[in-house]
Amino acid sequence: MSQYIKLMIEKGDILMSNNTYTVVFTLVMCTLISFTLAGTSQLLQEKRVLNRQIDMQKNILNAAGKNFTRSDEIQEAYRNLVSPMFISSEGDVLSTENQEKGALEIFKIKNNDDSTKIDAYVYRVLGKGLWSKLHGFLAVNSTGQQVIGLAFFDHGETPGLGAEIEKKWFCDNFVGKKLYKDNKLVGITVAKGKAKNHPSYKSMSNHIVDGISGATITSKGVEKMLSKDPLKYHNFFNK
Amino acid sequence: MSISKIMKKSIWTSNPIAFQVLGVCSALAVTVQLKSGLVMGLALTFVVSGSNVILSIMRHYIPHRIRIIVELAVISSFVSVLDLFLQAYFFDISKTLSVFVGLIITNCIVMGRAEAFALANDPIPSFWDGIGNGTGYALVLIAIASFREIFGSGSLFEIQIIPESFYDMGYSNNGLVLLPPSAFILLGLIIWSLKTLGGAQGEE
Repeated sequence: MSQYIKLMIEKGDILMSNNTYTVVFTLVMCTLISFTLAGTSQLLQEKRVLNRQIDMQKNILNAAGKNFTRSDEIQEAYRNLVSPMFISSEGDVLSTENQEKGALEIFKIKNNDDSTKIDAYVYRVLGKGLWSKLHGFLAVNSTGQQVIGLAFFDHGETPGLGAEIEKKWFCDNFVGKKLYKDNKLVGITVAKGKAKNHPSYKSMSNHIVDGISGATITSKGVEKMLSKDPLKYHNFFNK
Repeated sequence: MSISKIMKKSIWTSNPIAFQVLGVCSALAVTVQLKSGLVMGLALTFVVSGSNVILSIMRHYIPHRIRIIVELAVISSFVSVLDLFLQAYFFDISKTLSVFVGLIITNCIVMGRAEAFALANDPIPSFWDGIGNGTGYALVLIAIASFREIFGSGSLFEIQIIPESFYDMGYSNNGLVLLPPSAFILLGLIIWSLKTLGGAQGEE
């Protein structure tokens, strides 16, 4: 630093402290930087959008218990197995032209071998964690009452704590659990620690999963999400 | 200054975290798992060395009065471009890093090296200074993150390394190690031991 200051003094520093020079320098620098950033963003736009789309497709398939890793496999499986559709809040299926505001999107997942069979219905769920919103996909069976799978695709929780919700071990806990009891939505409780130590495990074993230690608020967010979001699709599954 | 001297100085005798106590906040935030710590170290090394070179090339033309904002503009555009590239070509890594990429801009090491080294030196030494400081930062992060992942989650790189039989015998993961205060204590211990081992006696 001292070397630099000495250099400035030696040079007389007339140019460097000139107001016009400063303004021109700033303008040129800002223009250059704007073009660089805008250009890079534009150049990579297509690829970024595609990546995000594939990630979404991967998570929809994941929730339904179909795991793919290569992007071409994901795209092909999505084309063959998934058919998205829109439903109204009354539960009626809407045609693509006739979309009303607030229509809900739901994905029908066909069986790999027999395309007339439906493996699962997948819809988006949204919860509130400690730091961020938890975006996920929930796959349910044709009655909408039993969980086929759960996948989180976007959240900003603490790595190692709340972020464990996106891990396979946590999501696998939900497979086969029931959202409804006696036709009433009760949701799924995330226990503190092991599910089998939960006081009401005996009577509610289908509604309790293992929790994450140190992530109470994230767990509560997942719980709340599963006791609220399925309601929106209640009419659809009871038609 | 020779390259080896620059490297020795920036990694060891004036390690950015241990002796300059810069970049501590991110050292607490990303060290729960070894993987995120390592990737953060690499990303920071890339940004410091890159922005050091560009600022060093520009150094004779930057008006003295606005140099801080010029440094910031160069650094933040570097980080933005890096973020876009990660999103386009390394989507998985960009997902793990999420907000931390943006936070590199505020990492004191980047600004500190630009101000203290790049503005007074030629591009090539500046580049090595960036590499050295990034490596010094990454090494401390790796040390803290390994400790926290082993004792907090019983794993390394998300692979279980503490055998199941230990848990059956009553061993359990230490939840405190996963929380930021434990990183703070660990960092204090690391700084203390490095100073006792006789790294730097402060800046020359």
